[in-house]
Amino acid sequence: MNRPRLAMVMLLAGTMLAIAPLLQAAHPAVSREMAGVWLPDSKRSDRTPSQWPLRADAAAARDKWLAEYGPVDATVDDTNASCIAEAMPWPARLIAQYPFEVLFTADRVTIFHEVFGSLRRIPIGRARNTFEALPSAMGRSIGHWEGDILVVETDMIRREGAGLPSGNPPVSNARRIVERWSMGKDDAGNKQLRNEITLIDPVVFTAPVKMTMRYKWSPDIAVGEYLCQQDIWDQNLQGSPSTVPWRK
Amino acid sequence: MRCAWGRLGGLAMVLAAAGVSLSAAAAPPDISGIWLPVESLSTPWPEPLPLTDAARKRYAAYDPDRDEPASFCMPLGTPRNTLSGTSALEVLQTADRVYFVFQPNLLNAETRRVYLGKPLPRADADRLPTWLGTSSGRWQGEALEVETVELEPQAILNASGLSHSGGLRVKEHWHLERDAKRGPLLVDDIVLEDPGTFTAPLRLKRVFAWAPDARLTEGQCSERLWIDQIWRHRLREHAAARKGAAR
Repeated sequence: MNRPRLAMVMLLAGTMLAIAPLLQAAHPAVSREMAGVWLPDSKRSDRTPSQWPLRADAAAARDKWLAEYGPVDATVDDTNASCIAEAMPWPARLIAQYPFEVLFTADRVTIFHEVFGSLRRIPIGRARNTFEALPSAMGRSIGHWEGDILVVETDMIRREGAGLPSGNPPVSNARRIVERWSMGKDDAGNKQLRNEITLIDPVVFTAPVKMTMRYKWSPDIAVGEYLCQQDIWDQNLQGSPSTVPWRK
Repeated sequence: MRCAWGRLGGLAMVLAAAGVSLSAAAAPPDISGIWLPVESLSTPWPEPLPLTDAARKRYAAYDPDRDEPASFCMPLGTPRNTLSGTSALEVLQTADRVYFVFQPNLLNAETRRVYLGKPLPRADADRLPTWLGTSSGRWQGEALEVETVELEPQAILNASGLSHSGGLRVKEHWHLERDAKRGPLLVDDIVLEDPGTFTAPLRLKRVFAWAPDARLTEGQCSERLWIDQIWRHRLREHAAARKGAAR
């Protein structure tokens, strides 16, 4: 190779090295398989443990709450029925009808849930966002890659939108979730997204609670608009007062 | 936007020195990141509005207590989410799509999905309108051209109750500018075309300033209604207790 051509090749190689971080995200190749729209595969998932390992004081608090406010009427008491968005991890373990979309951009993954239009921002390999100091439904997440497994840790999860009024175990401020997202195939050989969810709440549980979710790749489905308040809005436009109990 | 200006500039100088031009296969500009609306650089709604007679009647009949979707935690919808001048904007960008995310203090995040190079549905396609509409985009040099149709007519265009006929077509020209005081600006030149509402295309400009430290947060609209319900419940309880005491 003559000297000018060698110089040009070196220049181009240097150029590619310089702009590579700008052109591609720092995600492994498996991220391209994970990206897209998914539907929960409830038949192949293990959404709820057979028994919640409640600490004795948490069980006593639950029993006291149920004695005072129970039995729970989901049409009135469930905050989700009043359009209060479900808090993590429940959006990740929903039943079949609600798709979600996984989008990878540079040093981040974003999960768009159809249900409640909830949106999870998960920085990858970056420091936690110190601005997110208040609890929220989606919590505060950070992720990292362990080979082809995306590990996501979430804390700062608010207590509303989960817990006893929704028929779930109590929730404390110490709740933390670890998710391990990976790719696989289902028993029919179809592409499958897997999420091993560990719910850690030492104030409530005697041991971490594990849930396993499986998702079906759904390239022909779009994440739609979720208009929880549509009924109330329609009734308003029709000139009638709401029939939703808490709007009376 | 990932602080790439200096790096790309240096790279361009190196390549220019080597006689290599990037222009032929230049990557589109990076408009990703969080942006805050700059009201002072945006254009106000024209006065008077170029409305058709039918639109003028709709506008006059607007009742904010009845017809404001946001009072019921419904979405702002497109293009109000972009025009409102109150909501932060987050842009997510990949090779084949650009997402514009708004999180006004309503129920949901409003994600405008713009698919690049994907044609819009045919005008006679029998599809339901949506609050965010159906968008298609393409890069034209340094600008992102976006067209949005199939918009829900219940979604009003501004807080004064300006509505559209359902035949609204939103054409946008997104591009970067630089401001000495504010740094990078994301500018959206918008044209609203709706023969059922406007007698001529309506042109507006919205400007957003780069705000890498800003954050979008979850809406609390339903919580407000929920708290309102609890408060009214308490009032009823107190009233009942007072009546009981008076007997």
